[in-house]
Amino acid sequence: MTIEDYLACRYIVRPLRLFDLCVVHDGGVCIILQRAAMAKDRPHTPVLVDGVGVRAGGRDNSQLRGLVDGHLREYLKTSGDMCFGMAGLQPKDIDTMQVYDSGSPHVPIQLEGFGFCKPGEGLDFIQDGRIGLGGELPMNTSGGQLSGSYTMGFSQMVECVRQLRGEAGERQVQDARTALFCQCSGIGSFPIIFRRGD
Amino acid sequence: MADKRPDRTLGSSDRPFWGFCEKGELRLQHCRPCDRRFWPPTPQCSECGGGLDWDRLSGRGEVIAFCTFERQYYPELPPPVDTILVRLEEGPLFLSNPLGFSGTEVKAGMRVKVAFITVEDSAGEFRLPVFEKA
Repeated sequence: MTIEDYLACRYIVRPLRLFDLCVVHDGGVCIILQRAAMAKDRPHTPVLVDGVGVRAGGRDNSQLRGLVDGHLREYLKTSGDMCFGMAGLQPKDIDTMQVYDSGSPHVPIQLEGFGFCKPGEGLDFIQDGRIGLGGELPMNTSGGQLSGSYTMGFSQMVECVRQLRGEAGERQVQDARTALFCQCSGIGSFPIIFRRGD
Repeated sequence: MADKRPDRTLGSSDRPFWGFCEKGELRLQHCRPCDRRFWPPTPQCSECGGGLDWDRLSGRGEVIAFCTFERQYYPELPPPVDTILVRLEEGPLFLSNPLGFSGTEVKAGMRVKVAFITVEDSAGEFRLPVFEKA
């Protein structure tokens, strides 16, 4: 897609255009978990859960306060500190990031909220291929929901597993060992750090 | 005849709200012990579980976000539909429509005050709170 393609597409909810919003349709994702000690005997490269974070929103009775007024910043900070703390990692240690993107604004908002850049600098951060394949922090390498479809973000969790197993084919992130997944919206923020387990 | 609008939510917690609108009053629920205000309506305080009073608000606030629906989502609302999120002076966020100004003029931080327009849904005519420039 070129910038001309983008600017030529129609508005859906101004200022968001067709390509800023994901398609909604049915789909399915299956996640199979087992204890790490057992996973190493399986045919696939194990992918471990190193950290999880939870910040459920809605305590103030309005999803809009955290989402629109707060840009999810408090949700992402709280859940991100929990998740990175549990994993003993920092944003600079993440090899690839696969996040919920029902709309394009979710991408810079999560980069800012997890501390990959400062608040308000997310759009600058993603310039010049930094989040593309071969960039410093490849993001949503399967196309995310924006180029796929709405799966509540679970397809990004699958992409974390594929990347860490080295099964992503042409879109493989070289030497990917850590992946940050996050599902976030007005209902809260729920990041997971996955690590290649071999 | 009044403009059509999508059907309101008319549960037991919502009816008092529309009743006050009918009188030209913007009132939202308030828990006195916790000093918390609630919108949309709720049966009880989410903090202490206690009962809530319907406090009258100033009706003043500022626009903190806005968008314009260019795609039709409700048959009663042909696009474009300008929508604003108002932070009321007392704190609650209130989703509404601008009156007397359009989505091309609206700016974050714009001071607004409530006004009531008569519209109609399948339950009949009612007064809807919207916001004009303060």
